[in-house]
Amino acid sequence: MRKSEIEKDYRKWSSLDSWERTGADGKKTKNMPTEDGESFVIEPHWNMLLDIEETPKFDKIEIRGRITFDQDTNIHLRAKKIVIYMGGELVIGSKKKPYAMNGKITLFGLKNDETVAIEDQGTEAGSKIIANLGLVSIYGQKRSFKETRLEKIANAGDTSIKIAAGLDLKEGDRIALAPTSFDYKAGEDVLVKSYNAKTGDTELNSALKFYHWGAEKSTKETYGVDMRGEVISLSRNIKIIGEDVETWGGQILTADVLGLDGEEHQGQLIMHNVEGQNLGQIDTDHAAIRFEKAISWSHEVKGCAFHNSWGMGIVAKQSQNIVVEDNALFSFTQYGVAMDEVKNIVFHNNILSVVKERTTLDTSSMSVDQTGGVLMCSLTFPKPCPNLRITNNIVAGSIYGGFFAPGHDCGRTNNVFKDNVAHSITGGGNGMGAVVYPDPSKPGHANCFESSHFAAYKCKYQGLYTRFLTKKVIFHNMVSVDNGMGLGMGIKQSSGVEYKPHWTELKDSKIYGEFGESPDCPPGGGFC
Amino acid sequence: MAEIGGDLDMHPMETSHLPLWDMAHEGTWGGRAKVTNVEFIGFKAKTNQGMRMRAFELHKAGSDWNTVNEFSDVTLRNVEHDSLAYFFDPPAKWAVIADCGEFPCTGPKNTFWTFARTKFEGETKPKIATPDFSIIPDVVGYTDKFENCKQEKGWNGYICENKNLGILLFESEDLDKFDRSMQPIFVNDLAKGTKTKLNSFMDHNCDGFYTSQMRMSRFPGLVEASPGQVAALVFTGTPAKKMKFTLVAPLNNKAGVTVSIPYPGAESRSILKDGEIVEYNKWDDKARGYGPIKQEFCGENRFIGVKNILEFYITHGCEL
Repeated sequence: MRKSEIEKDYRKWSSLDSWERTGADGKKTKNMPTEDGESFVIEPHWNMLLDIEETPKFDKIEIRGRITFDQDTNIHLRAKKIVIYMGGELVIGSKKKPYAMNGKITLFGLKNDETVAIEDQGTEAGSKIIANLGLVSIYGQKRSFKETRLEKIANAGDTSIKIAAGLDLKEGDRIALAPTSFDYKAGEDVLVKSYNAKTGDTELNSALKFYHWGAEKSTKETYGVDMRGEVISLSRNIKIIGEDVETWGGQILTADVLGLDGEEHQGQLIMHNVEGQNLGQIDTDHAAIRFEKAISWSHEVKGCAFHNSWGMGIVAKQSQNIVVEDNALFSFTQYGVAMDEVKNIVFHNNILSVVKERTTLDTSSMSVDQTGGVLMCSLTFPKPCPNLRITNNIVAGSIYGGFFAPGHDCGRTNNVFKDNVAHSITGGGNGMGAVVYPDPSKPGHANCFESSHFAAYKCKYQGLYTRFLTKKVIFHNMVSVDNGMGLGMGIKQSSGVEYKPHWTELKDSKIYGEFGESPDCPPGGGFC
Repeated sequence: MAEIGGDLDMHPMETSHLPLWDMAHEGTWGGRAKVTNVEFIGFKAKTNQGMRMRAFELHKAGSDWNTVNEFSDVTLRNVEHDSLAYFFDPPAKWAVIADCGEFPCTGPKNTFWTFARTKFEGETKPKIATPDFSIIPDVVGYTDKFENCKQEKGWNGYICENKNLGILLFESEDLDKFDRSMQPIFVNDLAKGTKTKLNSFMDHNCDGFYTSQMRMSRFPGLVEASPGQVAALVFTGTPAKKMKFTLVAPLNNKAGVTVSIPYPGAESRSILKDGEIVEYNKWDDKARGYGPIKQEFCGENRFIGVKNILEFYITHGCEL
């Protein structure tokens, strides 16, 4: 239950009267924050309409009431720390009326800046943060596409590309071109100089660094998967940006905590069509989007674009009821998405491109960092994660592994891990499109589990792999194209039961050799 | 592949556990693999980068026991002949104390792949005359005498139309099955005068920074399990007191082979099937010995005194 009762009428940020407070002594004060470095509180009942174009660079904003972005104003909210407590709300647009102006929140701060403490012994918040222990509800304008395809080969050095016609691209938009070869790092983002909506011809502000394969016609019909290079839309009209300093990004944390005030705080995140840049903090699990023990509410991250991070993309721990859908995630470090000890998760129709290794970690020749694209409960396996839906996603370029996901019940319709695609997966000592494991929340998987409807291409080793304790594992309706080792199926048995029959079975699938049209080492491609 | 051990650690932090497909434990006894209605499309002998490309290859780390793969109703479309298969030779680097001992492990040479109802499509097709065939590795001085098998140098193997191919899988059940060596073990085909040499499994265990020098005494051996066939096993070490045998011959449920084991000592041996002793064949007064193996049922056996040879017949799927 949200505790505060917010007044019905807005009080305008720009009006000094809106900041009138009555002190404990009954004395009234009016303190409008106007200086850089100020900290202040939006009081529990306040319904504050942010109607100024740019705020000072505040230190800490405590939101215990509501801040709403004025729908008719381009707004830039600047702060080091924004904490929304239980009952507090940060609102930009609504489902019925998404915010149509240019909205921006910039998070400032250095690596060693003062951190926010939200819980005595539990969730660690950190700095440069939107700490959401109340409600963050943001609706921006939907873009016409999340990703489209290259309709012509783009060479290193090119300043124009051809993509689909009829998109809503405009000058200044940021797009990313995913890698199309084995080199998972050969993806890049560029700014659009112009776009011809009739032809799809797109001029870029800078020359491409890498080769990207494209073709007019999809390869879906001939190969079962469209292997043309993805062109990803990264710009949105609402931006949350971590100031680019000390390679230290910002973060958005949503959590349930027992606060230092002794009160329970329960965060809820609703975020539609938002762009996040330089979010995620290097060498920490402070991802661009974090959920920690967020179990009281349901959460939505839809239509967003998060890109160019020094840290991880989305991390969820001990949380539930999260929908991550239609998002574009580009250029992260260590993990793209990692969810552990979670339940009731929908991860649908997202594209994740370019997940790289940490360059700051000092590993010996015998140790290696944990890395990967979309890690669904694999870091804490075999702790159960009931009710995961991982469908229709693409991992286009990642170190180590594209997806780590559970299989589904034998003989049942697959609605767990289905219609996903991984390509350009190498490095980190591995290189697999997906690793599928028996779902620990399903006792029957100790006897049998299945996986189906997955496609992988240009992965260093297996497009799809499994090797876990079960008596039977079945893969079907899989597509493997130009992977170093096709598909890999193994099974494990404890020494006590290894004498009883146990099976791997692959059926109704297609395994292709080399996909020569898209070369591994194009001349002058920028890699190899 | 089927492997003894616990679940795969998906995110190990030691390079020794990577890549994830690497084998870290012994192959299981009961593992099987089926591939049904799968299309293999567009395989050339070499990639554009000049690397070897094959539709079917052994697991690179499959030192011990590469389960028989049963392919049925697969389609080979635009698959060049030379790109169909490859059996690698066990690398010489395995022949170290830390891995396989004096000679490389022999798992890669003791497996096979069966194909049933194969379809050949496209402009490029492998030169295979039949939809039902098997592919076996090239074991010099052994597989060249297998019935109805033709050498394919590009595969380092043979293509066979032979329904009686099988893997005779056996192991020590003694307490020292990891400590005591019985290898090399020779599988002799006395009628053809051929033989193959088997090694035990690789040492997969670690003792701190060192391997543990514990190798499982389990042996898959490629055999022909045709009527009248005898596989004479010669142990260069002392044979285990208690052993388990099975035959994996998926192309012919009735396939079977007589196994003959000479023992260094005269103490009698018995065959157990489903926990019950199977009596020796009837005594033959004329021959002054137990009657010869007629290959009539799994477990049929006799002990040849003086020579101290145990003979028994084993069929597909039977365990003794």
